[in-house]
Amino acid sequence: MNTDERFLDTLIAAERNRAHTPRNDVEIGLAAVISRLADEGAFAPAPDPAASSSVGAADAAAVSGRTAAGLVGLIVVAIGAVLALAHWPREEEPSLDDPATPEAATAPGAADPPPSGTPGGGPPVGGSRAIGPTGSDAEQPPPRTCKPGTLQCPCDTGRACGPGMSCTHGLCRVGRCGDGVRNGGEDCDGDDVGGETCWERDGFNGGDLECRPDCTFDTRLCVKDGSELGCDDFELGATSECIVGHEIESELWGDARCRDEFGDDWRWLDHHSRHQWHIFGRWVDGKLPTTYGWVKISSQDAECFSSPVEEDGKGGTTRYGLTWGPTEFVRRQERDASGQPRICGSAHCDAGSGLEGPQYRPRPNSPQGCNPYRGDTPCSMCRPLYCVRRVER
Amino acid sequence: MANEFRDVRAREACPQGVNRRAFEAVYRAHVDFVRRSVRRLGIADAWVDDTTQEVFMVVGRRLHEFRGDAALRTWLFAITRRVVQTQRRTHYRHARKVDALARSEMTSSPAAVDGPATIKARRELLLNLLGCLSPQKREVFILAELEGMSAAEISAALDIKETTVYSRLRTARLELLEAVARLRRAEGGTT
Repeated sequence: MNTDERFLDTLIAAERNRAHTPRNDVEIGLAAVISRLADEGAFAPAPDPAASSSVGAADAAAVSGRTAAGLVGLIVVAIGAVLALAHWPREEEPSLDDPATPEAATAPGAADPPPSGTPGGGPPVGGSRAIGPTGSDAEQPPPRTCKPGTLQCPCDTGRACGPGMSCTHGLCRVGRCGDGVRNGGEDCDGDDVGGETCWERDGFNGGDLECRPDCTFDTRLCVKDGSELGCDDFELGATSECIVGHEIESELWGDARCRDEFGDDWRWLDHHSRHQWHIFGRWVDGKLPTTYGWVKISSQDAECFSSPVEEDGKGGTTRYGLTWGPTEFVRRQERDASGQPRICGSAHCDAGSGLEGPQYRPRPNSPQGCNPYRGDTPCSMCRPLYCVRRVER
Repeated sequence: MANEFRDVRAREACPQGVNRRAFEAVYRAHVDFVRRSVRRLGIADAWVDDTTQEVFMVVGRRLHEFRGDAALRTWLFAITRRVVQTQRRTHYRHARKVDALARSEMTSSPAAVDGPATIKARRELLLNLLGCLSPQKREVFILAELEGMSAAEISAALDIKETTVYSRLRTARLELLEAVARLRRAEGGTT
């Protein structure tokens, strides 16, 4: 194998082991598409309460048996059963519709990534030999059961691994992910990152090493020589006055409003500014907004001047505009002049229920908060505009 | 009575829709695969989430049509490649709406050629190199080299012969090696 081949294989290996999507992002995306499909009437009628009390393959079978016709029902049942066996945890999952369980978006287990060496969620289906360099891995799928008490042995997500252990990330581990203590094979757990920093990971040399809900490292806040845009690269601001959504005329109008308040290099925050439906930055004067704010979106009609007129759930009609929420986080590795951990801010498309309280549902009959497709907050409501400035360093 | 009878017949004739729980399970199990595929098929980072959503909108509408005669992932990939083709055209139309902030980030240059130091840089470089391949070869390369699918699965997903899978994979790798060699020569590296 010559140098070029080794070089290419290095690139392929890096992409093949791509990290999984953060659980919260999965739930945000799922909620958005569920909402759109429900509006289209794509789903079968809801099951009766007795049928909905159980979760998993039996539930899918019961529901489908009642509502789906003939072969269609059988196919859906089969898919549900296979997936339930392969991916679902045995414990009951929180419902997206249940306002009492906003933490559903971070519940560990259901979307655990595959064990290393099986990119994409397991060995190839169908028993055929995989072609390419991954063939050897694909030929030897991990054992599907765990010997009790064996650390780090492969297991199916949701399967019991023995006393005091859990199947996390495809491996049996001591303790339980989410208990706040790094143990077993966990990379981290909550705030316990085991003293690791961004410096040890992927060549990063700064920023914050965070912990995902599935107890693996999250390097999204790590930076490398300024090539990764982070907290210091953007300044965020919310207009001092709230603006009734109907008054927003256009993207240019929003940009002008931000410039008027903060300066020439400011603009109205765009949903796609940072690729992942969120942006990190410093809030002006270190103050987080006390409410969600209107943002624009380049690819969808989800601003108050562009979104479709819809029923408001109260007998009237309205438009909905897209809003993001504010958060802040602590950069553990960095200290301010007084020696305290530095506080950084962010804004993001929030799957939760909003600052108005856990019962607040901006869009009627919708389990989600943020809706980048048709807006989420009635345009009769008053919200600040979220503004952004790229900081040149 | 006649109307009721007609209504019953109509319901039996038409699919009643997708089981929501089954759809949620499909989404959670395969959203990573779809996102990866969308990105590897050439959709810019800024549009990966939107395009993934569009793929699952199609899946939600058509899940009841899934016959099980192909692996679910190959069925999903077939949908993904069609949506990506459509989204490319759509995104070009929207391009003028994209603000300079996002645009400046999407056009960031790939990593250094003499051995990218970070995994992220290696991934970006590979995705850039994939852009050198024709769509047909790129699809085969993605499924074989990055997803570890068998030739039979790829054949089913793309509706091509297995011999075509092997020939496209071989030429794709050769073309990528040529691109690597050119890149390294341009940067003064040795081969």
